[in-house]
Amino acid sequence: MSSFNGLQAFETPEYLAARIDRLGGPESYNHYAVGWAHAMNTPYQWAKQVASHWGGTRNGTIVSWPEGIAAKGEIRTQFTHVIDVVPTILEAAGLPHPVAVDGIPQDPIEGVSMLYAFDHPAAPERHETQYFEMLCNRGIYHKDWTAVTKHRTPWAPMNAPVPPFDQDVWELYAPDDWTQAHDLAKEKPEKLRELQRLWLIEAGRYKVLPLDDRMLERLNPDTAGRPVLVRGKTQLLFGGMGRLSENCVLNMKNRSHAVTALIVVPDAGAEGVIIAQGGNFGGWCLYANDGKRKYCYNWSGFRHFMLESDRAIPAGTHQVRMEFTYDGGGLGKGGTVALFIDG
Amino acid sequence: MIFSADDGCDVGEDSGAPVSPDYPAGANRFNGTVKGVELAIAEAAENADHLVDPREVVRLALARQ
Repeated sequence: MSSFNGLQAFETPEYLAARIDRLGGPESYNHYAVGWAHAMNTPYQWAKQVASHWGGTRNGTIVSWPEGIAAKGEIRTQFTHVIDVVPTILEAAGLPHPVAVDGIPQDPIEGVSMLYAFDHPAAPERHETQYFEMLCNRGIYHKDWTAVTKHRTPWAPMNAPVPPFDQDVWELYAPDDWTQAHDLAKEKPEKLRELQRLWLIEAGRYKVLPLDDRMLERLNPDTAGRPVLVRGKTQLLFGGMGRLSENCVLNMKNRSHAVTALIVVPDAGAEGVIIAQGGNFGGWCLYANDGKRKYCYNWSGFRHFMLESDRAIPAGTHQVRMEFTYDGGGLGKGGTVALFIDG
Repeated sequence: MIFSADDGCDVGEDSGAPVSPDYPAGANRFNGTVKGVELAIAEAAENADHLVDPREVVRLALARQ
């Protein structure tokens, strides 16, 4: 997670070398190294984060339906996108697309069923146009042509500057060029313009616009300008709630906050987690350790800041509280933590 | 700023990878009962009256059963 938080500089070669035997195990959160990731995308130019090009996204799909498909072991070459899976299943099952679920109107499903090709290998392609956009890397597929542009280099640091959108360089690839190896942008500027226009139309139609190439800010709904699921200044959680994603929990980052828990402690003394958010690569938790209250802030897996109470929590019903007073002055600053019991 | 893309928030345990090295993955469930936890920010976090009325927490809990 360190690279997602702009902290990749802390993963020095020495830091990684000291942990080499743990890479790939439960204590690591590793991605492929860039070199290997790039090599494994061969023959394509980029990895899947660069949605404009086919690396990581142009994949074979195996469809098996012994009772529904007469063909066995055959290959279909009609363009199909992952969004086509649901409409395919609905058509195969003879079900209509849902227009409302529990009274909530649904957006139309945007895919195209691929059922038509199962029994007709030479059927004309039905999914003729597909836009792509991820992190402002953009592309369009239209009748076997592709026009694409990479906006951001995948391994560049999160806070690295990116070019203005109108300085992105577009490439054009012909129908016979499935590896996107021969750029025809200079030879066929009219075709490129046609596809660029089509990308813009599709992007408008499917709510891709406005493009937003900020990175760290987009992770946080407050700075991204995204609606949040939790409103207000407080949130009450109950025992048994779990696996709540970050967007479902009050955002307490980069600000003063407090956590107050009502607990019942057995006679033997308290032990275990009262509440935790995140994991071993970042998060915080309030727990009982040897009967005492303890708070741990895990800073992206690099450091653990801990505070433990002097006294154990007595048996019975008690209220334990953690207060984090933020130092302020921007994002990612420190703070002072205090623990309380019954007041 | 993100803690984890897949390791969420849990009450009464820490599922997934543990936040603190003090306890193991899996066997870290609270040995008593966690009735409720209130998260607060801004002025709500600075409330001098720290006590949340336990009856209020229980009432809310029961209302959701």
